[in-house]
Amino acid sequence: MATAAIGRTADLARKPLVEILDNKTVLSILCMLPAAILLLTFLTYPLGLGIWLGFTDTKIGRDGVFVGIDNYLSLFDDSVFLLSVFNTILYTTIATTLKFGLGLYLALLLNNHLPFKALLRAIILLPWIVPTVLSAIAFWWIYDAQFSILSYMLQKMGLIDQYIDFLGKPANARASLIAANVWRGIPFVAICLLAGLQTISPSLYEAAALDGATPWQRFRHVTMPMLMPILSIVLTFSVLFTFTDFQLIYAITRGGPVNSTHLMATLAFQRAIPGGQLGEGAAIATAMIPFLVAATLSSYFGLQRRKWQQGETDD
Amino acid sequence: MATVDIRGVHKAFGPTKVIHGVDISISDEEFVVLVGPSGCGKSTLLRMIAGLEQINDGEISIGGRVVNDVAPKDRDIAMVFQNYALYPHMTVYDNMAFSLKLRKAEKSLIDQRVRQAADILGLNPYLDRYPRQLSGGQRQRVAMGRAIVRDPQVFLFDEPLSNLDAKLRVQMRTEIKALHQRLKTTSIYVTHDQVEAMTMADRIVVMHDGIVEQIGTPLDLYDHPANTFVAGFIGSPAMNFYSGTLRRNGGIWVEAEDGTKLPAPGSVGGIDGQKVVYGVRPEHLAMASGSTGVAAKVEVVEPTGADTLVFSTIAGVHSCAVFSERHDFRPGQEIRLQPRLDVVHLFDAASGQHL
Repeated sequence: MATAAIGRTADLARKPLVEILDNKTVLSILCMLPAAILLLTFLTYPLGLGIWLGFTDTKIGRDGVFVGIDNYLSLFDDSVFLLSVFNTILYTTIATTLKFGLGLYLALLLNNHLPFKALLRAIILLPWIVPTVLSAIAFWWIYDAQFSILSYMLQKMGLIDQYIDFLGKPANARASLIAANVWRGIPFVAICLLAGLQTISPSLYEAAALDGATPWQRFRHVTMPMLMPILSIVLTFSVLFTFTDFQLIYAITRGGPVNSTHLMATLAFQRAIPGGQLGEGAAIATAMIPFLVAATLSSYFGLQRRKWQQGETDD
Repeated sequence: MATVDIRGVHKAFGPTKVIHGVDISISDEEFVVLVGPSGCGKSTLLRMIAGLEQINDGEISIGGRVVNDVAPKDRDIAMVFQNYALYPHMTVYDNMAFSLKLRKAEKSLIDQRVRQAADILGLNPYLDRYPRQLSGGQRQRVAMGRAIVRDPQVFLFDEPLSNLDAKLRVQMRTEIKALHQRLKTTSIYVTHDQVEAMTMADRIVVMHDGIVEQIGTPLDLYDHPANTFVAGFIGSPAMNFYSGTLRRNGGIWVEAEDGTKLPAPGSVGGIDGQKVVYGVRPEHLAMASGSTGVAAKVEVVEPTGADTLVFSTIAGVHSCAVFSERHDFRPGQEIRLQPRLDVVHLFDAASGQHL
């Protein structure tokens, strides 16, 4: 009797909990909680702190006080900062364009029936899987003023008379960094676009061929529209990664010569950590946010499901 | 509209030979169905006619012109794919107009052709929709509409109904046939479904393992199968086969492997003692009176409403009989079935050829 009664009470006590867990809202919040806590701790807090620091004059070893938008005002008169903004936009635009042009070309090549296709694809991925710093060091050597293998080869081929100063002149240095970034970024673009290409049914191409489409028309009317959704996702990611690039620049030029290759990310670090001006560095980093939000928003609108992708209706 | 001639065509994918010398000649306005089990090479043959596969040896001509080296778009053919291959990012209208747009046809002509095709297929309300917003049957119609607007010499259909449910398949079957009767465009239709082949074709080409087993009208194939393969493939439920030995002593009959005496028609060829395969269609087995016919042990009875399928063991072989009248059989019951002698088929056991 007694045990039965206890069993019943336990049942009663347990029932509401089960019912609460059956509730979809509660369950979804519960399931999201671990991820949300992680994100709040490791993303939102540093982000918030960074933005806050940008409004203070904190230096390393000294708590700052709130100075309003003073940091930002001074940045507007800071030619190095303005140059870094210019560099970042230039770097992102040219590198992204090249990465997409070449990446798409490579993806189209790899989408054909080639011998050793799997091996080729693996090789293509190499630049991407090599640690950035490692490839940066390699590029550093490739671009070295005295030991550059590029200059050596060009000279042996009789194309140049004297070694090119890749990293010593601002224009050369920018171009060299863009080339390194493109080299590193192509695999990501190519493999993503290749995945997109492989989702396009071959019968669409056959239908188009029968409809009278030339290879170019097939690319223009079948491949491109079908690739657009994945292309815009990859484009967004690529823009974000390139815009916030730090490692490659810092390892190859450290922003030099004479600050001419600083991106906003490297300048922020330069000012904040080696320079000790945490507040100013944070302000520079925070100044990247509007650009990134703009890029994300434009891709958000670009990414909205196109009408033809919308779900099936029964009517 | 045109004739299509296939002469000595061979095809191999690497070392794998898939088509070993096929000859088919299709006349103008004809509706020919290529039928066979999967892997028999029928789709490959169709794709070779379309120009989507290279021809290794032999010749294909359309309207008297050899097209071996003609690009698909210049062959003046239209193809309906199994998965429809509609451009998902184009509306129904644009899907149908695409080929004409590529040919730089005038806008008014494109509009007229597309609306005409949409009229024929009942697609007018859907012209602004995207393929995703259509049902399977509607997509199928768009695929056909895309073929119609081009007004090609030949229509090619590659298993166009296999993605539809059974009821819709029957409906679309009739529609395609009606469409052909209206447009009279030479059509080549590939299917693995012999019922589709029987109901739609002017002539059927039965293919198996890369060769043509038999070409003929549906009823011709049904009544006079050239070999055991065609006999077993055409007709549903399939023909019953019994291996045995032809006996010409005491009438003409076949001694099945378990000794059962199977009655054979007097007109049959073959010599005494020849190893044969005895074939009789389920619909040609009737209830025998008294002790005539052959013994059968009922296993399963499947009423379909119109007919009743009775599965039984005859001469140790799992067999099927179809009755249009109703019988009250129980599993395990012993009955006697009488084959209709005039439609019993005998095949040589070794070659499979009809005797």
